[in-house]
Amino acid sequence: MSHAQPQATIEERPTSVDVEPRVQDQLRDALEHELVAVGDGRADDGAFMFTDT
Amino acid sequence: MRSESSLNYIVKIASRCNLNCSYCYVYNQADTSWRERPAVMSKDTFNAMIERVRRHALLSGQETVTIAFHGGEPTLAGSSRFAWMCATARERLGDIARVSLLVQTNGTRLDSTWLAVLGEHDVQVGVSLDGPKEINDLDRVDHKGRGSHDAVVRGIALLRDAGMPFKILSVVRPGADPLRTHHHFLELGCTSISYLLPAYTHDTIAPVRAELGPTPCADFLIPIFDDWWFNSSIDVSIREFWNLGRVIMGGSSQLDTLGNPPLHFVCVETDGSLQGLDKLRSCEDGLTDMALSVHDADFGEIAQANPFHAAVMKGLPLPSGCRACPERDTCAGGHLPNRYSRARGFDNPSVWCADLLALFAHVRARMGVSHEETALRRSALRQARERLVVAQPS
Repeated sequence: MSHAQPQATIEERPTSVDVEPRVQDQLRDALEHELVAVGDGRADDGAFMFTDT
Repeated sequence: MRSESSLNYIVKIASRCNLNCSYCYVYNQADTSWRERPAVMSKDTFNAMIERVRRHALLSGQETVTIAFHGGEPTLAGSSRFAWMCATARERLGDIARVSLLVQTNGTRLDSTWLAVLGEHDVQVGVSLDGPKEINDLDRVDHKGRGSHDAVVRGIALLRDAGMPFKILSVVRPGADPLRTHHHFLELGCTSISYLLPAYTHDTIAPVRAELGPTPCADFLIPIFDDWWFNSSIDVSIREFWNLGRVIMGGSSQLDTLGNPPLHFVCVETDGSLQGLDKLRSCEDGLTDMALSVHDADFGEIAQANPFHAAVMKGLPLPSGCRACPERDTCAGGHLPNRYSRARGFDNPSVWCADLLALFAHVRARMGVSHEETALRRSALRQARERLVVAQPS
C-alpha cells in the first residue's frame, strides 16, 4: 500500500544537502553558550565593529 | 574584556576608489568631503594616529585594538606603504594590546604581492561583492561603467588558492535573486558572509518601495535565512542572522545596524580628521565630521568636542514611532542612516522597518523564541552582568 507524500510546508521543509549538524540544530545552543559566557564575564557583549568591515 | 571606553579604528588609508558603485555612500550620495582629502594617508598622519591610538588604549585598558584599513579602496595606498602601516601598528601597539588588523577591499587589485603582504602581517580580508556577474555588475562598476565581478572573483580565487580566509561583504540588491546570490558566494568558497541593508533614507526610499513593494529586503533575506537554516552548519557564518538570533536570545547586537548599541569605533580620514559613523555620509554633506584631527586631539576628546557624535556613539534615543513596537529592544529603530529624514532627523523608524519586522518574525518562528522569552532572557543576562560588576573589586 502506498501513500502519497504531502508537500512539505515551510515549517517542515527537509534539508536538501547532506550536512550534519545543521543550523536548525545548532543555532539556539550556540547562542545560548555565547550568552552564558557574556553573563559570567568571559565574553564581551554589544557592538564592537563598523558594519562595513 | 572590553572597557566602556575601548575603541577600534576604521582607517581610511585611501580616499579614492577604482570603482564607482552607484550606491556608494562615500562618493555617490550626500557627502562630498572626499574631494578635499589627500588621496592617500601619509606616513606622518598614520604615525600621529597610531600614537593617539596607543594613548587611548593605555587609558581604556582595552586588551585588543582592531584597526580596519578602509577607503575608498585601501589597496590604492600601495602594498609597500600598507606593509609599513601594518608593521608600525604592531610595533607601536603590540606591547600593550593584541592588535587585530583587517582590510576591506573591492578585491580587484589583489595580486601575489598583496597576498604576501596580507599573509606576512596577518591581516584579515573582507571583499565587497554583491552576487554573480549579472547582479553585481548592475551597481559595482568602474569609472567607465564596466562591471567589476570578474576582477573581484580573480582576487577571491587568489585568496582561496593561497588558503587565506576571507569574508564577503554584500549589499542587498532589492529585487535580485537571493539564492542565486547566496549560492554564488558559497561556490566561491566563502564561509563568512555579511548582507548589508542598502543605505537609503526616508528622503530617498520612495522609488524602491514603488517598484518592489513594502518588504524588498526581507523578500531577499528570508530565503537565504532558510537556505542557511536547513542546508548549512553554523560553520557558515552570516553575520546579520547570527546577530538577529543573538538579540532574540536576549543578548546585545554586535553590529551597529541592529539594536542601536553604543559604538566602539571611530573613523580616521586620510588627512587625519576624525569621523563618526561613516554611513551617515548618506544623509547630509559633512554630517560625519567631528572637527577633530589626530594631529591635535586625543580620541577621548570626542565627547566634549562634538555632542552629536558623542550621542551617536552612546546610541541615539529610540525613535518615537518605535516606542510601542514589540521589537523596540531588539531592533531599536534599525541602523541610524536608515532612520534619517531631512524633516525629522533621526526620529523615524528605519526605512526597512517592515523588512526588519518580517525578518524578526521569521527568525523567531524558526528558533521558537517568543517576545516573552526574549524579555526573560534579557533580564536574566542583565542581572548576571550586574552581579558580576558587584563581585568585581573596585
